[in-house]
Amino acid sequence: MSKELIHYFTQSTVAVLEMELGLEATSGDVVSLSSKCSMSDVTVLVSLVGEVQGVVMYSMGMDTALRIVSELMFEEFEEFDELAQSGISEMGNIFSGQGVQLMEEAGFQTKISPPTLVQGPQASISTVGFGRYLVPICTDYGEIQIHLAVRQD
Amino acid sequence: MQTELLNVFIESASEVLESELGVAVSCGKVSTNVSTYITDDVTVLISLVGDVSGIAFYSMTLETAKAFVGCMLFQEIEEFDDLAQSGIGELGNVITGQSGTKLAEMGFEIQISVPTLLVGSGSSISTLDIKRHIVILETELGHFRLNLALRESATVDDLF
Repeated sequence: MSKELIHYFTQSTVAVLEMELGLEATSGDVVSLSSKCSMSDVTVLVSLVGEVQGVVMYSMGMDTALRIVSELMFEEFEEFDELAQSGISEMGNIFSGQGVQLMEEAGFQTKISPPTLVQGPQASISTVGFGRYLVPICTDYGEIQIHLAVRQD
Repeated sequence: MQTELLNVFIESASEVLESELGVAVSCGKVSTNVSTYITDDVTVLISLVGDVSGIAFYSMTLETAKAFVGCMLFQEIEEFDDLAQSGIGELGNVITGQSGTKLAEMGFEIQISVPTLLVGSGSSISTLDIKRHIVILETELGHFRLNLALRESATVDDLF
């Protein structure tokens, strides 16, 4: 399921990066992951509830996060402070909102939770029993990895 | 409102821990208005969507997590493997589900997400503009930390 649905999020992420930030973004191949894996420095986590349930995550290095948020907020961020955290989370919220809208057009009724931000590569995130797929999105500012682990209810 | 929501979760968590694990639970210190949290070894995250939205997460040490799952599955857990992870995720699911039922009785319709598990200490979890409340539930198997970051969703009435 995750494998079929991840392209909605790839599509929305690429579109938002291009439109909101004027960034050229290209998506790589879909990779299958085990349900538990470690993440990059900054991860925005958004849960999905409804006909499709699970979680979508956007993970990136600190450098990438800072450069993207600087572009988004029109000011240079050197530190990943609260404002920067909130900016990156909002971006994850927009990626997910647009992705879910595309899914809705395809007939899946799904809602998204508010974003939660996880920082620090020490922890690994497990989607407990859900198959999980990753698509890397390459931008001039570095890579954003989209992880999707969902099932259809 | 926040206190009522928090009480619902404390009550559900205590009931579930008592019935699933057969341990006595006492409610410890309550801290409010924290926005960043440094993770314990094991954290179960479950989001809520609906009239009330946000996230509930439950954290504990690896030792406590293994003791809890051991109690649930009636077997000694040595390694925190897939089975153990799924057990602890399920525990979070039952607590949140029960809270959801109580919230529905109070007139709040919510849906809960599937559990996501964070393993490894020292990362930070931020709920941004949603302030968090933390309650420590003490059991003989160790501390179970309940973190709640919820807000009432705006209704049309609030906007006009």
